[in-house]
Amino acid sequence: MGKHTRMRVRLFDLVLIAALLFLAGFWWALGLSGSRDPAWVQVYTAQGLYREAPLTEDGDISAPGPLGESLVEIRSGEASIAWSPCPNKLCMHMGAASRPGESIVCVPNRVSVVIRSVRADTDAVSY
Amino acid sequence: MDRNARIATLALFVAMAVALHWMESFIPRPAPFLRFGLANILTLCALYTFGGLWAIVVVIGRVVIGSALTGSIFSPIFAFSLGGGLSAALTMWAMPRSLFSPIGVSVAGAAAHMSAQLAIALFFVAHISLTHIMPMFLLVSVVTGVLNGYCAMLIIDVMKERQRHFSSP
Repeated sequence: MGKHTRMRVRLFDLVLIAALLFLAGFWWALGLSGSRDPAWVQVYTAQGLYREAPLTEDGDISAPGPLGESLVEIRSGEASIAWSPCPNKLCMHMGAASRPGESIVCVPNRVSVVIRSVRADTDAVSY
Repeated sequence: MDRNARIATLALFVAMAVALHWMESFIPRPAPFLRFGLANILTLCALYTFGGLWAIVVVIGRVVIGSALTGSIFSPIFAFSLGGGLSAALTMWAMPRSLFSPIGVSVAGAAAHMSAQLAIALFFVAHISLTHIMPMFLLVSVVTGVLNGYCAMLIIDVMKERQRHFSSP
């Protein structure tokens, strides 16, 4: 009876493990570099994307809605709705949005503010 | 191995996989799809002893019986378990066993398990930022894959040796 040879770790195992770890590190670095890129503020009205501005520059965007003009403020890397003609002012109380994916929505005036890590035209690449 | 021995061994594999699957549900984890996947050890054993088709039978048996025990059968968690388990079994079946030891096969299976569950998660919850989750998922699948693969390698070795003892005249 021949002695059964036990299985051992193979070279390809280590190659596979190294490849997966490299992929994880690469992906992680990609996430880090992505968060350092300047984020974009997108203001949507009932008609769709109304205006887009970098989050890094202070500014005001006035977005028209069925009730009147909503005022979006960008101050020190944060966007908020400073004034809205809607009745309950929920959107004004929602505070500021600064991280990609965060959003502020005003349902009555059909205005929404979304923070994105990329511009609208490159959106399909990352989402 | 004759037919009766095969049936008995497969039943044993399914039973042990269910037990591990069930015991694992007591280990606290940050998300339902982050787990050790210890039951994969038995899938590997079935794959090496009886082939890929029987490994898939063990996965289906384990998921159905295990989910019935933990009460998650036909819930979204059931979809996670079945999708993850099947893709892991199919991937491990496809891995060339002449090049990889059970450790490499297990790591590939764990990565496939994670990826499939993430895909199902994306289906249920649309807005998950892939870039933030994927590195952690890959890291976890490598660690659990090596752990499970090593366990499976020991078991398969012992089984092969015993089988040789019993079948030789």
